Amino acid sequence: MIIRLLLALLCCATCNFGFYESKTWLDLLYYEKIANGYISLTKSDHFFVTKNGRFDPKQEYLESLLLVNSQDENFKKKFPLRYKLIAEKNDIEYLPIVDVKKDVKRATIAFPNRYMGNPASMFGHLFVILNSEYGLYHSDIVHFIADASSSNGVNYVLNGLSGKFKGAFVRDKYYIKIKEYTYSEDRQLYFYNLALSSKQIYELQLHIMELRGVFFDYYFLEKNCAYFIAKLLNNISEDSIEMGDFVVLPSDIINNLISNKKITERYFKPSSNSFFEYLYNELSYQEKKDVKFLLFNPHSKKVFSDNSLKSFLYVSNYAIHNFSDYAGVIRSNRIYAYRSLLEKGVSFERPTINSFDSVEPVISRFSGAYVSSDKRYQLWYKPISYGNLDEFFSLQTKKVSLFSPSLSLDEFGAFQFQFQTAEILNRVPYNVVLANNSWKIQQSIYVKDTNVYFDADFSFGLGVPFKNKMLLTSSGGITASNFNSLDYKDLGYFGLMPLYEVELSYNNLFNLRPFSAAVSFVHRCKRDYINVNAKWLFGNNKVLELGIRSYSKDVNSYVSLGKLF
Amino acid sequence: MVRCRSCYFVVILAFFFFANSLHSIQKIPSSNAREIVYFSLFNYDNLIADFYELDKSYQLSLATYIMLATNLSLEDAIGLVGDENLTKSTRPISYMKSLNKMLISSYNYTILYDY
Repeated sequence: MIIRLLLALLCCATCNFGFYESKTWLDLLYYEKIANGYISLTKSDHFFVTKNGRFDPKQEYLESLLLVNSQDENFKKKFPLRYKLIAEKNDIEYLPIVDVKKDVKRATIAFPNRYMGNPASMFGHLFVILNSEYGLYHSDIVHFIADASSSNGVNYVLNGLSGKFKGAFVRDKYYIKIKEYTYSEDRQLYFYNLALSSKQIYELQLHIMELRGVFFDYYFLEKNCAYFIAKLLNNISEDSIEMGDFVVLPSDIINNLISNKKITERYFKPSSNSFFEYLYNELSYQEKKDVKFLLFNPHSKKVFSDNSLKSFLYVSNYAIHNFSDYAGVIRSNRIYAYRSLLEKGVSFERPTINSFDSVEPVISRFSGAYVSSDKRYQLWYKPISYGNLDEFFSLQTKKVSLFSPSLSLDEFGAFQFQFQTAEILNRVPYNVVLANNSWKIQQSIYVKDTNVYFDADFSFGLGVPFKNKMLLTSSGGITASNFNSLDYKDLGYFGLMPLYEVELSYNNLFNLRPFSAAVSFVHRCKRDYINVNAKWLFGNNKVLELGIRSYSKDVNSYVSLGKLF
Repeated sequence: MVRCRSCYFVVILAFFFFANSLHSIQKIPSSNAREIVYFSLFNYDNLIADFYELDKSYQLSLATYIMLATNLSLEDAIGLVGDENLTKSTRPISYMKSLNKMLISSYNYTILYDY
């Protein structure tokens, strides 16, 4: 070892030895500081050139320096960015032997929105697009994904929280991935152009080569896709993306890039199904039957309305991928539908990518205050909260809030602390094609005086739309609680109780003043409640809510004011 | 006997022309051919949709893949993938085979061979 170090000294008089302590070197090999030194996040031995490389950045650097100095072909091929940086730092001639894609001229970060079908995707996902000059469909993407195929149910959640899954950076074709997001999972996508120089684009491609087949422990909350994409970008950028210790969310990375002025433009690709649902909700009963007919039966000489054909076309791509037994029929009917519309001179266009005028941060937090006529005051903060704008703009509401604390003061002057672990609401209009179900999960812990209470709900139901204005949702489920969170009363026992809810909600879609209102009947903790509320979105994402809640002869009104940010 | 000999001659001549025509079909390099085959199979539905809609981005991409792998100009490649005959294919595999047939008949290129 000493001889090798001496050799390194001899062969490179101007060596930059301090480099092994630099942030650049430590980031490049994914080292993290621990009590007695460093440890790399990857356990893949082939990511290092020394046996102890995972724990010893200095030895790893010195050995790498020797290889760079001798222009070792294997090292240059396997670690092209390390080779470049070490060569540059030590005035060694840079003679690369790997080829990068020359048509990649810029990079975009893509943010597929929430997917309620998978707990790991409820906060969205992140991937980087290496934009080809020939267009998006010639571009590759790089993302960090975990292999969770061995787990399901509770195991899936536990393994995801405890880092039992192995994750890796994967390079894929953009056109393959976009199909999965837009057709199989029906997700909206946001795109953010990254302000990267051509040198950074080149280095990004070199670093991606180094990460081939390198595995990392994957954690749902902190070492997830967003964390590793940020790490990847940090390796080619002078300004680091700062990340939290406990939770790293895709939206945090986007917002950090926006605040560091690393994003130049923002684009949006809506899901085809949102177009389908909007049009389908306006169809007559017969037209709705015709859409179903076109999905599952060969077309006959029957005449279909323009809106039935358009509605069918919007959902047809999703149907091909989700009802694969009928793919042949759907494909044949698609051609028939296009031709029929063409003959009538009616145009049809798929949802395309639209650009925004400005680059706005992703809303992910919600805080506010609440006052009720029974002299209850409450302050609440939701540090992870998505989907709060949904109810103002669409019949679909996909809300996710986690780890939300609140503090209340009741009519007797007693304080009460609430910690809501999770509140997930998936309220969607039902139709025979997508057969979407609505569901809700909520779990909270209350601390009042010296007592600790547990409160959880799970309900499942259907939402029936009335055109695109109203949704009647009926759901049933179970409450597990010793505390009724609707009127803040100790139940005196812990029990499993039925939960029913019927709600009629209204929103004024596409109006200039976003407004929503709801009337609901709730049977919870063996009591019946009637609620009426109205919400306005105003100013810079402020939400004003007015409501009345009644139980038996008790009628309370309340007002709450919140701010989304 | 004379008649039979001339038959042999015609057959040999026909075989010669057939073999020669086969030989003149240029195989698109395997990595490029694979790109074109995958893209046309995977994006069949959008390629068909492009024919009827204003947005032709999938057809343009397929044409670019063909242009990059052959001596065709982009305009020629766009003309090829925009041909109405391709819309008669109701399955991805038949679309890809039709595209290959058109490539052979119009430009003597093929994307289908053992790779």
